[in-house]
Amino acid sequence: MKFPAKLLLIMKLTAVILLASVLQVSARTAAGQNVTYSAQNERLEKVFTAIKQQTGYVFFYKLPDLQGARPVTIDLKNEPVKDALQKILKYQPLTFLIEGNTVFITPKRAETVDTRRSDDGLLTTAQQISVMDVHGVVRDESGKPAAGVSITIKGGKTIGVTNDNGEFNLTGVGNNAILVFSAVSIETFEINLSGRGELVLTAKSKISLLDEVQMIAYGTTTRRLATSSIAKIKGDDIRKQPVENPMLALGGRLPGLQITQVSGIAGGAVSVVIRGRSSLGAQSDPLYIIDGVPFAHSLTSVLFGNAVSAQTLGGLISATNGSSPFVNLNAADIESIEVLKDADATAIYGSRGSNGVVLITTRRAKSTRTSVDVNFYSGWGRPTRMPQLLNTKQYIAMRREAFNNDGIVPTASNATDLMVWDTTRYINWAKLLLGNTARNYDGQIRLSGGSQQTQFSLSTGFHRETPIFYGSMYDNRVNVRANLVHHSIDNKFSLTLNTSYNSDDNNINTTDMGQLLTAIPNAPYPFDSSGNLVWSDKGISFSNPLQYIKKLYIGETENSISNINLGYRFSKNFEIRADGGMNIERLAQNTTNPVSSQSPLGTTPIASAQFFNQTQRNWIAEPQAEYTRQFGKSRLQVLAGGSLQQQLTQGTTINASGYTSDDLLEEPGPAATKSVTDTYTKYRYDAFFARVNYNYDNKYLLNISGRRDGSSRFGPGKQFGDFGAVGAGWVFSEENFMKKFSFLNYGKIRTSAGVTGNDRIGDYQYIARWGTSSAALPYQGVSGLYPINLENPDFAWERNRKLEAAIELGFLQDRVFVSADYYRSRSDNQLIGYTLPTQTGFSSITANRNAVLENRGWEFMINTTNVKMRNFTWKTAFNITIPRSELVAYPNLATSSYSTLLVIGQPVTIRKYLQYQGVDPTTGIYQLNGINLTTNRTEIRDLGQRLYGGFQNTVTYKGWSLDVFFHVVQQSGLSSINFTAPGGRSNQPVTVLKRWQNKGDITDVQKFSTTGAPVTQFSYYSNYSSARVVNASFIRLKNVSISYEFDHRVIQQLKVASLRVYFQGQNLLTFSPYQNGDPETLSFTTAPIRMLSAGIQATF
Amino acid sequence: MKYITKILLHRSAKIRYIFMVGLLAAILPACKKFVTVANPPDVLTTDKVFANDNSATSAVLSIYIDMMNDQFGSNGSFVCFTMSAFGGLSANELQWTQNNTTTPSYLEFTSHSITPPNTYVQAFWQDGYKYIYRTNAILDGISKSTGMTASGKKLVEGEAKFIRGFCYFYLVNLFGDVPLVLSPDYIANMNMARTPASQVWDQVQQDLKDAKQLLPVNYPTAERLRPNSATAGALLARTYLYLGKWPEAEAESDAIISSGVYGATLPALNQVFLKQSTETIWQLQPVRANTNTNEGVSFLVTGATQPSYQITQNLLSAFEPNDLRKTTWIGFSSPVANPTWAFPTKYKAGTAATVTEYYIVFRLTEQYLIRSEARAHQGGSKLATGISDLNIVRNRAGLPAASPTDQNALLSALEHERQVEFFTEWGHRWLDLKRTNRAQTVLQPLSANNTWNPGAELYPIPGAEIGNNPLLLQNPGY
Repeated sequence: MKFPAKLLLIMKLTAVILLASVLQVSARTAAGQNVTYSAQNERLEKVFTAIKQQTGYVFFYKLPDLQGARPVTIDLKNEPVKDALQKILKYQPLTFLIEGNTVFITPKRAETVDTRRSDDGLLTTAQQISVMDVHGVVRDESGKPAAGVSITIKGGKTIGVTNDNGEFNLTGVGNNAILVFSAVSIETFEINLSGRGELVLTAKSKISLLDEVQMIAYGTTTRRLATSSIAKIKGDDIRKQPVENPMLALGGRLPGLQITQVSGIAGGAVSVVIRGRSSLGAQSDPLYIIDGVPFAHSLTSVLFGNAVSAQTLGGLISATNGSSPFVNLNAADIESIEVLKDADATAIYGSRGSNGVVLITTRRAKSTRTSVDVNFYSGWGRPTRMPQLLNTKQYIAMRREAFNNDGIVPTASNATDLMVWDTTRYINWAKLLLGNTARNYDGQIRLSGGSQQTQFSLSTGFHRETPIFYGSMYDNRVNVRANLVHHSIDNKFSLTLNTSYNSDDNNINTTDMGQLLTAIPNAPYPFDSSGNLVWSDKGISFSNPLQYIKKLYIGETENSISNINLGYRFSKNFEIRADGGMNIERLAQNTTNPVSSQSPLGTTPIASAQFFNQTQRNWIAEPQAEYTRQFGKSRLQVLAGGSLQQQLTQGTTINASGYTSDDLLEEPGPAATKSVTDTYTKYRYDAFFARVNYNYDNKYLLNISGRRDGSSRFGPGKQFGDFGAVGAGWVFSEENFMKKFSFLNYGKIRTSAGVTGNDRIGDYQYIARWGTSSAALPYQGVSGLYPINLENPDFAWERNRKLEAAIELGFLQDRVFVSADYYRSRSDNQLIGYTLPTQTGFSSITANRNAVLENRGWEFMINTTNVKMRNFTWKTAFNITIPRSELVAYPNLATSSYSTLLVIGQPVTIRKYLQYQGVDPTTGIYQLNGINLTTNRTEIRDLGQRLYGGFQNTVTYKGWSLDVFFHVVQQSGLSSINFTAPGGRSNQPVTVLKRWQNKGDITDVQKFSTTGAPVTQFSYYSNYSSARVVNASFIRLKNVSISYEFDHRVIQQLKVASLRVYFQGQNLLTFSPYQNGDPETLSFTTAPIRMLSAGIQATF
Repeated sequence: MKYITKILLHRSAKIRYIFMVGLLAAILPACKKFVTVANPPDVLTTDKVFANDNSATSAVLSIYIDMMNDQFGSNGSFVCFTMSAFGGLSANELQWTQNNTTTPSYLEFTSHSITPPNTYVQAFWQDGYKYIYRTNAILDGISKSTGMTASGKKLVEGEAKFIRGFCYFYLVNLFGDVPLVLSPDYIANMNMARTPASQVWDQVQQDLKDAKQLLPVNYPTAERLRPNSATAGALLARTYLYLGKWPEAEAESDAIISSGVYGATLPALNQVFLKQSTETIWQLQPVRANTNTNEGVSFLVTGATQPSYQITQNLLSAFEPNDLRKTTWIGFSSPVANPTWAFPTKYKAGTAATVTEYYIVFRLTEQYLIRSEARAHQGGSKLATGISDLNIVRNRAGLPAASPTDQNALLSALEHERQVEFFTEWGHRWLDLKRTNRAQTVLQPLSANNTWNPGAELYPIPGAEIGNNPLLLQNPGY
């Protein structure tokens, strides 16, 4: 219900008059019309009293209304009452009306105008006063003041500009004037003043790539003013992809960021590498920071054969090669992800920044309007590629041919599958084991709103995925999050609170069922008529692949992150902040091995179970002080602060066995025998850091940062290290001589250099530790003590020297934005788990090596707005990265344990192979240049990515929006093969049918055989030959997203603020020469899922 | 707090800033302390381990525990199961009947064409050196210990030396020259080349002689789970036998037999592998939950099922008629349809709630056969006593006394007797054929396609080890 402004005014005045009798009233006859008065910090009431005495005007006001008034400092010389009052009340939240000799003082009407909605609060009623003063404040969506916004009368002159607090004061503005607010940082908007004297405006941040806020360490910047290399993806772009793990949505999106999906199974690990692996031995995962809290800082790292490593939660062995900590991160809560790459951006993280930093910022309330956002989607999926295996007829033929080739007569002893089992029976294991349709469901509710000072956002939701495996398995997540932002009225004090809790419940099998496909096709049907597992057929035992169905896996991860940022601004120039955060990550796993899942044919089955519990408690405290000073065209910003961080990880593994019933396996209690092993690590870290940022006229930019760091991972005397960086930028487009090139609206050259470090090595490695033996039973009642590691108190930081140069250009008012980066980083003092020959008693030791490893590369990015019309836009984003790595130096490589792996001058992602020379046309056996693994591995193959990138097109037409994204990778990878020689008692992909059969055959698959030289040769071929390395490049249509936003009419009828439906497809098409599997996971068993989903989003 | 607020809000910016800097400076020294974390509560540092007899003993026990718990080989460490199973495959006692799911590692043993990457070969090497490192660390630790008693030191030193000798005995047999690592210093050890086998053998003898002196005559604890002086003597007797030191071998074995500790007569066949067997010289206690020995777990088969480790026809036909060992120590899962489905049943308990069988490392029967063989080689008057030693063993097996007529006949009778007595036990057959230089002659004809790689008497140095230490040179033939 809205009243015309005039009516409101009258109502208020009436109320005031009625109240006047009970309020303080001063009445006296007029003595004079003009006022001469001066005061310093005088209370307003006193001022009124003084005027009353001089002029005889009577003042009517409510005492509470004056409580918000400011002290008055004024100097009036013979001014008419009206002018005097205007000056006095100019900056007060009060206005006045003179009726005869009476002055009515009333509060100014404050209107909250959300310019993002065209119909908001625009009042059109004519006003009595034709010219008025206006006071107001402009804030951005996050509630931060928007400084430097210029205010113009539409079609006229500029009449004001907002100060650092976003405030402005206008005098003598026509009450029906249309004001235009514009600035570099916000979308230009207009309001009709409609006689309002007090305005609180929310501006929409300008969607200009250049001036978008970018998160950096302990602050923000913009692309225009950054001296460092930062890649950013917005939450909206992540949410276009129906993936559980937000990291998966980044593949190909950001230059310099290499994302590899390690497993297609829900909850699986994802490898994230920024600008190449910087370390030979220490972990190369980036540092993740969520709202200022380091997340999953040092979890287990899983290394894979194809030189991919990924961060995982560790724990019990599961099908996904570990589970990613990011399954607990809800894509719906992400505002943006910024990836910090170069020294300038990362050196302030000191010893932790060497591998780059991923800053994850969560969403917060954007306006004071209370809104509820509801989103739901559901999808259906199948693997991108399914393996084709031999059917029974082909398999039996293969086996017979193999025995024939070997000159061995198949008997009931050596060929039970041929001679004992039914050779016509056919079980299609792929269909049975991997025949389900994967499903996902995701539902989220967000509530946000607040007042001018305080905004809040609350969200909750769930996500569920089910795999393609036989049986009913799932991965469920629930998430709850709260965000609170508060600013004091004077904007001096600010507070941000984020707290979230996520819980993931995964019961997906411990074994990737894809690995069981090599079960032979004429094996018995896995279940008998009463549904029990079958373990033998005609006396021949059968390792039933579906035994894993009976073996439960329950993995629960809980994650809670809370952080609070307090800020107090002492003056315009000086602010102190205190950031504190906590992260608790709890992992509870249970795997069971019930009697029903074990063959009764060997020894007596015993029911057993394993339990793993791990809690990681992480806290960080970071006091900071920031000094900002503008003098002339120079702007200086100095930041200093400290970090204290602790991470305590405690874990327990319980091996329990001897249960009396399969039904008791979910708790260790009922087990007859239990053995417990513990893990305990405490990591502490502290630092002092400082940063000086200098900006001259938005033209010359300089950024210097430094950090002194201590880490508990190093021995006494080695704990501290110094790191730092310098970055510089020149926005040459601001130079006068560039102004004539009007097509180029932005151009910047920037460069940076600096040193970061790496301490990603296990805790306590410098102490020789003895632990308690992990056996279930003690020896004669006594536990053993065994040495855990070799002692090396001398290792220290790995250092990484980074260099970067880049050029950024914006053409045609940013319609075309181009950037090119060259980077080079050299890490030395390599901190590695140095592989030892086991004659030392251990297989590795933590040590520094003088090896120098270089990563360098080019990153290119082009963003274009191809078409921009009222109803139709078409935007294209393209990025590509060409990474190279090189082992520059490695003293005594030839005698080291890396001699068989690395070559100086070659990438570190190489492997050495025996030279594959094809199948011998005469013997039909794989030919290699020799089988001496020390001397014959002469072939060098690089398994690293040679090029990667992405290509995105976004088209909008009215309410429609279409997004199409391609992910491109050029790489070599290991072919996925079955490790049993074709001909053995194991099924094979259909590609083996190309095998050698007769003398003279030229083919790539050797003859079928069950024994002898072909089998030995196959072992070398499959594990060590260059034939394993194939072209695994791919172009993947990774995402197509179509959405439709309903127009106003529909929305109004449905009484919603907005309504959107969408369809998303993930991993839709893959173009690759890679055979037998997916080129990203390099395996035919765990291909990524091709997911189609549909969803609806409504805002109320 | 009030004053801090006052200063923080002080009108002069200078004072505010000075206060801030001062505050930071005050925190600085605390910084170093903060990142010095205490040792984790669940581990001990080396000095603490050797601070007293109890924890030093625990360090020794960890070796026995891991010997029974390690799972690097097929199902166990080289000490438990791996030596028996893979030695059995190499000596054509066993054949592997199941899928080779990863690489053809099992087949490589039976076809005598092991490849250096074979991970099971690495099990012997890796386990052996892992235990050797511990013995070296223990010897180093007790030498620096101030808290241990003299008797405690003596016992721990004896056990460590015995275990070191025991590990080197198997390493030198399987691989020939091996690096002779005698200290825990990894920097010295990581680039050590192979030491000539003769030096390794010398060290084995030295360690065992020392251990024999250091260890007590009585077992240090209940049962025979930790070595005594005779245990070191038993391996010393075998070492002398392998080195052809006949009188020494005879003397060592004779000392054990005549001590009377291990019974006047051999126990019945079905008693030999029970934990209370009287003929046991050294046994190890199973440490896995609800499990007896790994042999029991892995060899035994229930119902009419093909065994995974199946006894070869060659071994089955080696038994003389009425040999009780064939009926007591071998099981048949399908005697009618498939008489070849045979499997070892020396150990008769696999998984079970209670442990009835211990892992038998040395037993008295071997000492009889060592003494017999040592006497046979010395010939002359000792031949007769040698024959009576042999017949003690045959007698227990229900066989008539043998009466070989000369030295050679006795020696070949002993070779056969050892085959049927020690089958699938500790790789005895494989090492016997090797030490008598009969491996190729006997085994090549038995393998599929008659394969025999020249030099197959020795296993290859594991490929990964050469990769990590280029100074290791591969055995000939690989």
